[in-house]
Amino acid sequence: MYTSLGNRWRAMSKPTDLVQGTLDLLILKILALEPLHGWAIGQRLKQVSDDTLQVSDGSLYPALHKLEQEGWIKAEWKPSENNRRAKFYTLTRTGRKELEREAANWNRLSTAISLVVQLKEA
Amino acid sequence: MRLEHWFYTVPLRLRSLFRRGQVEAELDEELRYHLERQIEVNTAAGMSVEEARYAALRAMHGLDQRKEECRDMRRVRFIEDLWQDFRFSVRSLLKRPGFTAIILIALALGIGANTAIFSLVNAVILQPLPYPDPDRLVWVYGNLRNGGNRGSVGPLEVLDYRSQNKTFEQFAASSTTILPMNFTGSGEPERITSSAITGNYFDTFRVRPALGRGFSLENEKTGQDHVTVLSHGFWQTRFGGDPNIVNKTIHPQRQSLRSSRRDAGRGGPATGCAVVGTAKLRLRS
Repeated sequence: MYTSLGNRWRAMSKPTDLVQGTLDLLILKILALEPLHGWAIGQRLKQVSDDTLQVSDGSLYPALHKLEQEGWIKAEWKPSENNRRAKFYTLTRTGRKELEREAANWNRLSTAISLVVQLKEA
Repeated sequence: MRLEHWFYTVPLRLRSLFRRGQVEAELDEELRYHLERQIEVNTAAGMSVEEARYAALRAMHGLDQRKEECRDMRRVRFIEDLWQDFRFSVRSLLKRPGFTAIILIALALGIGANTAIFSLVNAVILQPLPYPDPDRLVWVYGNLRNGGNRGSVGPLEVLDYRSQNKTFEQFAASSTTILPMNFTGSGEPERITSSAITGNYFDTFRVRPALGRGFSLENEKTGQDHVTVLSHGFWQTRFGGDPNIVNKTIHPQRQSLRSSRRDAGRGGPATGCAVVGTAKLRLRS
């Protein structure tokens, strides 16, 4: 019954169409700009990426809950723009550090991949 | 950094465990809010309300699965499962009292036996002897001429060993046989056991009697008053813990009529100072 424990404790956000772990980075970055609720985060992702990054609605919430449980974002119930109660997420101080770490990692990785992709054929 | 991490996470874990209903309600409300917003968008795009609802749900790829994934993120699944298993076990055991009784008896016997064995091992092997510098105390054996070893040593040999000893700081001996005695005098006669020891015996262990002087090498000389050290238990039961016991005369009688010269007179009236031994020694009384 507990064999899947290891996986559960190290659960990653796994949208099918994104490089593993990048969803965390995207959410942290968007929340660094302003506190938002889940639905708005999904909309913002589509907007800023010109609809390139289509995060499925299903994978967004487990990712948000994971980040919250890690202490990187914290949640607060507030009236939303259409005056209904919604769960707003804010970046915490440790979340900001995590964002810096993950952004640096991403830059390193994407630079390395770009270098490989740009290799000229002989 | 770690501390700050706990500052956020510990209250969340506790909340997930002890405010489960509220956490679940919030999860429902959060996802419902999402669905409602999505339905609004879908109807604005021209879908009927029914279609819009189905489309919004489809986009979640299984609402209940997503909820389950969110629950997994709370990191308390292990404790929740453990608690459920515990309750299930208790229910199953209550349903079969006979089976439960057998298990309980087996466990009780097993734990009891282990505790008993451990108490013994702890006292005999693990705990150091209750004397100062217990690691400097050694047991000296004699070797027998016919090849046996670990034999006891005769009284005269002990005295020779001691006078020629250069190896040990102290060299003391006690009789290997328990000397039975009849204790008469005031009150009922009583059968007691005693042991003969060399005068420096207590010095070797570096223990002092609770009252009085104990033995010294002077007491080994013939013609001296015979001195007795009482065990704590005997002092309490026979003399009621009398604090004025020192210097009283008691009359233990050796049972055997024949006794070696060295022991002669030990069974006679012991006069002079009667001394109370410390409980630490646990001498048999």
